[in-house]
Amino acid sequence: MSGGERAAIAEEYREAAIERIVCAQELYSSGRLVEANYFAGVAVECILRAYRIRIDAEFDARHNIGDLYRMGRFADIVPPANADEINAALGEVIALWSNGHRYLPEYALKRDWKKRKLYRHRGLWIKGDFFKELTRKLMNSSETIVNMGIIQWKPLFKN
Amino acid sequence: METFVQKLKRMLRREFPKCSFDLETGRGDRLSGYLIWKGFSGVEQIERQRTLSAFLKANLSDDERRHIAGILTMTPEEVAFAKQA
Repeated sequence: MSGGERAAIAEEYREAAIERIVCAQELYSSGRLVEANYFAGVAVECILRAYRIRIDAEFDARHNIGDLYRMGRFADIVPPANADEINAALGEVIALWSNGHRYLPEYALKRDWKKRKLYRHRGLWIKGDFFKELTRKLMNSSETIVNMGIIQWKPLFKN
Repeated sequence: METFVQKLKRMLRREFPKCSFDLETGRGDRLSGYLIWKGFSGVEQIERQRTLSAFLKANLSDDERRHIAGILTMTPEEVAFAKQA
């Protein structure tokens, strides 16, 4: 694959990241939490893939956010002042999101998170609706990562 | 670089007992990957990162810290979940 082709695909991934995160925000606003959850993670995957393909078109990270983060050298684009915030956001997405969640109805996703005891923080129960709260955290984290990827984006080739 | 990685791991093991690592060196000899520790369980991600940052700042020189691109702070359960993705 030529550099030009890689640049074009990278741009597509970047634009897809923007579209998916906007979609996730709309779904969250309308109370469709499972779908918001899924699209938020896909948006992160898209922006990490955009950075990865700029380096090498050959990769098999499947849907593993941690592998894509490393292979795309995403850490290199993050200003030191933002490192804690971005690393925390990535950790949040890795802990909460799975591509397999697209197959789950709401009750099954809740069951999955309960099984993993994600409803607790420092041994205490999350107050209120834990499912909504964790989805909000996933949304915020995804927005943080996608925003950083967009802000720091530099086209591979100038027109 | 190998010496620095060994030093870093030794220091982290003292601060985060029984932790493990999944670190790799990328462009410009910069490290990225996971610090995996059971003690992070139930702790907010941002708190984990601030704890790690403060520790690195207190124990490494500016030059040494430049060799760290990013270390994500995860529990063993979170890493196991991510590997299923």
